Amino acid sequence: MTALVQTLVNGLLYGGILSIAAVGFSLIFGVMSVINLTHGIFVIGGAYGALMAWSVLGIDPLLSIPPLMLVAFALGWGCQRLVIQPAVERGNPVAALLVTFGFTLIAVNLLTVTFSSSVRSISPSYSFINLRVGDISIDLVRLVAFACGLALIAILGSFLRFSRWGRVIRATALSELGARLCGVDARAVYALTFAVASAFAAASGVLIGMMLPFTPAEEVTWTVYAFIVVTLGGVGSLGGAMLGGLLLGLVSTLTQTYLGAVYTNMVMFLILLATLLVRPNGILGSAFKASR
Amino acid sequence: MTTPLLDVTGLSRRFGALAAVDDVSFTAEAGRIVSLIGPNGAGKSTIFNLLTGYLPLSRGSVTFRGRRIDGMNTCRIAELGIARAFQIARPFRGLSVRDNVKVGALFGKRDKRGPAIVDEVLALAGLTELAERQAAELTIGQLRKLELGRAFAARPHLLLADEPLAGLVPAESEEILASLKALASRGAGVLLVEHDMPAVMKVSDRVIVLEAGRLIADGRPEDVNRDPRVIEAYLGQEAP
Amino acid sequence: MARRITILLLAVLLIAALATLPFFLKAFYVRVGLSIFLSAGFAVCWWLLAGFTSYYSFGHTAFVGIGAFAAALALRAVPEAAPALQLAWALGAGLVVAGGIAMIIAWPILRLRGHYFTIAMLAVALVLGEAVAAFPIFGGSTGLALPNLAPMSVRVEAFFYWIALALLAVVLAIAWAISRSRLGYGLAAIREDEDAAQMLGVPTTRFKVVAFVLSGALTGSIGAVYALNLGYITSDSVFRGSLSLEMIVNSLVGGMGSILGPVIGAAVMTGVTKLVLADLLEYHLAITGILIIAVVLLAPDGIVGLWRRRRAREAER
Repeated sequence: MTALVQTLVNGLLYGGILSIAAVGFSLIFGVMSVINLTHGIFVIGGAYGALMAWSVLGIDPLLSIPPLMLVAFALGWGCQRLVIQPAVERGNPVAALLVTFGFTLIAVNLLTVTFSSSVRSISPSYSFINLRVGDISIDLVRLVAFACGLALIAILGSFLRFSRWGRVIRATALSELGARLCGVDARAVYALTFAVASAFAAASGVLIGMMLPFTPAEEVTWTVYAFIVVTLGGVGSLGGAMLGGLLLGLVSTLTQTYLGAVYTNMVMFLILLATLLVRPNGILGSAFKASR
Repeated sequence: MTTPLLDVTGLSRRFGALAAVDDVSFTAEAGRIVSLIGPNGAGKSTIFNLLTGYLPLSRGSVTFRGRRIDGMNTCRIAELGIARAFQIARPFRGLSVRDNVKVGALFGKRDKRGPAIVDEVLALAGLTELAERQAAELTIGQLRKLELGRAFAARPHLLLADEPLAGLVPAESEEILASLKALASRGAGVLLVEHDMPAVMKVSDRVIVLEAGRLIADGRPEDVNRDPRVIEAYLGQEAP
Repeated sequence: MARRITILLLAVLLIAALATLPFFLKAFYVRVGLSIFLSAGFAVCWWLLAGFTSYYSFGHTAFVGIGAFAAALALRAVPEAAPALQLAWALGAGLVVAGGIAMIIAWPILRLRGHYFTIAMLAVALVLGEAVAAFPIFGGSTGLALPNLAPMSVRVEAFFYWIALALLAVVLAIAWAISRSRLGYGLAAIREDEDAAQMLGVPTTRFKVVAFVLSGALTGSIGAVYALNLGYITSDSVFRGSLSLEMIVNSLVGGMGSILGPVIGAAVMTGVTKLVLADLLEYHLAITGILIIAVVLLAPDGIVGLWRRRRAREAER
């Protein structure tokens, strides 16, 4: 019984990280209907950024989140404006996807050259503290990361819901033409969306870097996990990303505990496939423009 | 009397509480142009969607060349010889005019003659000079011709033409009407939905008038023209 | 008619000329040629589905992996047979098993359109890759070895060079035949507008399944050759996302609008990677990335598209 509760707790904590790591991907897919393969590189880039701040400047990873988000925001804006927007304007969804793939190759290459391909991790002083609640043990780092993830999702949620630009983003997602007729500059909205998504991806990368080891090549994993979370929960909604992430976290740790670690990824990918076939719009399915 | 090409009996389709088509019966014959007219929302397009299997019917039966076709899927109905030309042309934009027509020829009817008739169809639809152009480059009038040509190429026993004249200048309309007549003179039936009344009266062998999903008149153009119910329901709006 | 015979004759001559190259070239260049034919073969197989119907599979490496492991396992059943028979047996196993699995997944997966089909194929490849790595019958993480089937008198790289060339020729011939057939016109109609195609009487589901199974089966047979050439396979080496991406990138660089697009793209990309970038191995990925972005933004219809545009401009003059 304790083992099950422990597994469920671990699953939820991990799921929270999967959720925050997927919101950016979800936002871009929902608003621009672009499958953004650069997502994982912004996540991993965030982890490397935090590593630098911690090992060179001695800054706590959690404190490095705001400045790293700013950097990622700027990079995302530039990347969208220079490379992705021209491809989106070609009208071919695959063109946009390929361009994001090309950008990712370049970024992975630069990260590998700078940091080498060896495994890195960030372990601040509090990273080995365990909390005990009854028989259940909880890593402090995971709990902190989970809490930060929820806080970030809440921030993004209120930005989208209450701010002027958030409303404009949601309107453009529903109908680009409609928004443009109301005087919205769709290109600026897309750039903003991409920049915000990149910032949150980088922030999640910092949290991931505190919990798990990482390499430049690991970016693929985080893009694919984002895919699964978003497909499972539903495209373009934060609630969907939350739900999808928590479910996937539970499934992942349950599989690991009761079937064996080799089956974890297989079960996750099977869930992706099954969701696509049974309910392609996800559990909270509003497909936005993605299903053309 | 011989069996008609198309025999529609008690055709009905409800969308929730709305009876879009309500107990409509009519026939269409080979070699004749029959027009369906009526104000917007009278049920003309719904009837086309029902005949082609794009929508399932709520009640009634459709017999085509002696076979029940209600309940069949779109593709099977097309193979039996009912072709449809859309009001908003949906050409294969990346293909040439000739290849568009060829797709129609290869799939409308399963026989060996398909590819051989492409040139003939291009001429019939007035497309010979445009044959090598990409469909994406055509004007609205040319697209409408292509839409008809692609339908002609299937060598249909019955053509459903959905507002083929909408938005065209008179010269283009004349060309379209001429090719519809040419098709009918080769023995095909034509079911025409059109708002251009002078054109309908000129080209039709029979006119069927619908209002709010019900059939209110069916006869020769000149008779329908004088029918008081029709004048009240529809033509009356335009009469002096 | 005369034009068709000329093209056919030229193609035969070109293949014959390519076939004699191993007698003149150094082993390194023969291996480059072999790589080009394999990746061109894969790209054409992928294009059979994507180019005709615009169903972009993101997981075609699934069929490479299936073909590779089917060949490796099939060869264990006939360890004593003559090498030529073993080769035919391995190719057949790759073809049939990949085709069979394609047929099983075709119906559910082809109901999905656009992005959803693309992602679902990615998921198929990931699931199969993980399953192969997890179950011991496939050698687990250690993988499976394949016998060397090249005769003693022939250099190994030349042997596989010829097999890959022959397979590429077969795949191209099939693609060419389809493009001129009723099937080809139906698939083109599906690509342009699937609903309108259905209204015109194109049996869209059946045609899509045919294209999908054909594409998967042929990819599987080339996957068998790929495995034989490697001599040793693991889940990671044949269920590899980058294999799927290479098929897509090669086809796009060459141009989606023509059968020759994938071949030209594979030749250019592989040639550039193996010959020009050989000394810049450290920056290989970045340069590939820049190339992809440049092609998508500057030459959206690929190299074939550029050439056609130039010809059209010359014709206007």
